[in-house]
Amino acid sequence: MRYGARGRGSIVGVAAALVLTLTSCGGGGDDKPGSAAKEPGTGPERTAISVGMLPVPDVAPLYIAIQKGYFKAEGLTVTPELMTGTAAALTKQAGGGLDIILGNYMSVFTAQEKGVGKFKYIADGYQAGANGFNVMVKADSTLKSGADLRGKKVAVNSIGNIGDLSVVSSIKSHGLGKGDVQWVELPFPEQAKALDEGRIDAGWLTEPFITYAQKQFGAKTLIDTMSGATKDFPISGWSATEKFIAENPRTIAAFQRAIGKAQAEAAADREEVTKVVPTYTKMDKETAAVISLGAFPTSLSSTRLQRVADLMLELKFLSKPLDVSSMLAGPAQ
Amino acid sequence: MRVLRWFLGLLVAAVVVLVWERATTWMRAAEIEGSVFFPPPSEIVSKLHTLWFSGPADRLFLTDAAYADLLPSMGRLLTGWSIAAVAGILLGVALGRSRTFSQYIDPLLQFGRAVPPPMLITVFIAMFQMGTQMQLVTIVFGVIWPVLLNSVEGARSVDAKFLDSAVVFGLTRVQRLTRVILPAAAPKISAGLRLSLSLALILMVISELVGSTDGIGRHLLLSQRRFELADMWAGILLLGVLGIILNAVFLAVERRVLAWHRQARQVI
Amino acid sequence: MIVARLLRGAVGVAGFLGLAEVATRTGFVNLPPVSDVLVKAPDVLLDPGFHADVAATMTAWAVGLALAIVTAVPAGMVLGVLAPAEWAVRPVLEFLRPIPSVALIPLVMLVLADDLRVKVAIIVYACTWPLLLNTMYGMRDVDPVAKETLRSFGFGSLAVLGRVSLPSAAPFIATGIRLSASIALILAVSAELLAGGQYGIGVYTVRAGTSADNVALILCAVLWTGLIGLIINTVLVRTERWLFGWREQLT
Repeated sequence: MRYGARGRGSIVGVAAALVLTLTSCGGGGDDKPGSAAKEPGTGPERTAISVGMLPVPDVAPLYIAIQKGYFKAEGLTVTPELMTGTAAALTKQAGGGLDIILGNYMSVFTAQEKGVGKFKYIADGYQAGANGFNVMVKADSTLKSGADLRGKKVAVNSIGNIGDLSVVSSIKSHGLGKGDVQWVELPFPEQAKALDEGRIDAGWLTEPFITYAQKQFGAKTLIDTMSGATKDFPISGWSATEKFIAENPRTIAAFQRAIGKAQAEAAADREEVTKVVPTYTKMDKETAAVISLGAFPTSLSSTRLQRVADLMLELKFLSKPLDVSSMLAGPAQ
Repeated sequence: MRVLRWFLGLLVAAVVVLVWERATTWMRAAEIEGSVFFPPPSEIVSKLHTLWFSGPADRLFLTDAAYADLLPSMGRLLTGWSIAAVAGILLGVALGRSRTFSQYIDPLLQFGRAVPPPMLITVFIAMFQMGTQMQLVTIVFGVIWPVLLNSVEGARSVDAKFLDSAVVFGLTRVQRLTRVILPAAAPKISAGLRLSLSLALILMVISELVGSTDGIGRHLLLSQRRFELADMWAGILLLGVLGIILNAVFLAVERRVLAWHRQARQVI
Repeated sequence: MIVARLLRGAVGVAGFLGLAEVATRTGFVNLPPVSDVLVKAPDVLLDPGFHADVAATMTAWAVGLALAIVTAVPAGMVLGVLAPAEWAVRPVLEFLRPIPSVALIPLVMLVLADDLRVKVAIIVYACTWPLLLNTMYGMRDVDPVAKETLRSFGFGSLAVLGRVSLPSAAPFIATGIRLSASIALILAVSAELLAGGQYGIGVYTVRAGTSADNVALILCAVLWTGLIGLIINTVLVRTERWLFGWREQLT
């Protein structure tokens, strides 16, 4: 509602202003309940927070923390909300609709550069492992290496993101750049079929879709995009707006403690991840047990994340250098 | 009266644009959070111009991007709508003239129109070739219902007297269809066609959000992802303008065709 | 008569399913076999997670539709009765109308932030047009003689509105409501598909994407959503016939 008065001058505003006032008093709103702390100065400022997630293995620690009661122990009630992608979620977060998200580093850095809002990372989330993000081709494809991708149709789940970045980084050694490949945006679930049909020449996939593509269509791996310059590449972390962090330091600290515990458990025991993934996706247990997983880092390192911004700049995904350390608000050491 | 009418309308439109301009400029100057999402209209219009309409005169002022975004989108929209129009009218008139046939099909039709087309994109991708074919299917599925249902209504409500006299005068089946049934159902069908045309614009955008290599829908999606908000607004503006043009052209054609039909009807 | 009609409808559905079964079994159509989907459909319906999804979608549907009705119908009445008001806003409306509501989702997400509000706003935007236009046409269609007669008997404009204009415009408004009801359902699901959220049929569809047999699960969701839409429409058509049975059905 905060932006109501501002939106009023715009085309949307004119139409939305009416809706806005009506939804706020007409029973349309379900404002986040119970945000006030019982005792000032000790508990979290806000006890109920909404957290943006994607139905992917990366988000497992969130559900470990929910299911094992780590958030509850900190006095937090976490409501997970499905995002359709970080870009859309950031818009919602800038408007106050989401408190914390598992934001992929590239989208958040891009949004920061474009002035969409001021975002900060409060904990690292997920880091790529071997064979976790592969360029796949169909079984009888004539493509043999990254060099063959010149002029080919390559699908990624979201253009201008980690997909094309890692593919470009992998084919750079063959003298190819961003403009030498024809990018198609296609959700992961649709890519295997498109490959099989020959509508795309290659698809950049993650788990469980790599496993599905291999099983259902006999697709094979052309490139493991998380190798070389992108080996152990940071994928996503837990982020919030600067404003939210400044206003709710104890809530953030509580979240960091709970998620940190869960990250550590996920990192130590794969079984924990395998168990929790089928509860928030439609993946079955057998698939969850065999997919390739990345790592769950337990600390927020500016040197590690600066790699992302530097590679983005080098491959022209950012227009000017970005100092990542200003965007980190890791747990107090 | 006519002058007053235009004057009032344009005045209000001008005021809206002016307030919009002032408000968004102010938002930006005051550095209000979220102001990037609302660029001033002047900036949107100039973006619209540079993106699509700043090409050379021999190419109708269209830029390369216009050829890549605008033309494929319009092609899909018009093809999808035409297919839906032909299929909808044919099936609709058949259903409207045969009560038994329509009773067999009715539950399926009622079900089909109730399904949100965007839900079916995954299903269509599985069934059809991705790209143009899938996009056309999505558009056709989304826009056929108003044409179909209005055609059924129109064909059903043809005055029995007309049909009886047509039989008396020895008109063949085809003649009865083209001379009696279609003209009588034309106003209804035409209302359905007009509704479908405006739906087609929406479905065009939706169909281009997944797996497309060009089009206005893809432009919207990409500009959103890259947070190029002025580009996105330019896309929205373009859709508004296209909608107005399509509607105006449709109304002009409708007036001529319906006038012709009325004459044809008087002949009988 | 009714039995014969229901029977024919059932035959039609069975015939379609039979054909679809053959087409999917033989691989002519690249979809999971229809019988497999039908077997799975009750599981989806019994899944408590799906209940929450349906509840969220239907809440947005109901709130959005109700809001659209209480705003657009009175607005349509004013514009239908006061010609100058209509002239004044016409160009702006004509420009706003064709803009696909789905294109506005990111902006609405920023301004309204909350899940339900985003969906409601999108629904209200899309439903405004059929409601507004139908109401306007309805108000203009009022028999001028009836109005004059009432006036000559000394009735005021409010009484004329209540006794002549409203009853005569009611069928048009009802048609607008019926059209909006299906548009609202479509928009609720579309908004969920594009904007995400905690629950919703569209959210279910996105989540189903992580399953190995995602198409079958989505078809199940399509089946139930279609049935919900079918029921809503049937109820509204029946109500219309019951209220305005003597008039020709409008579309």
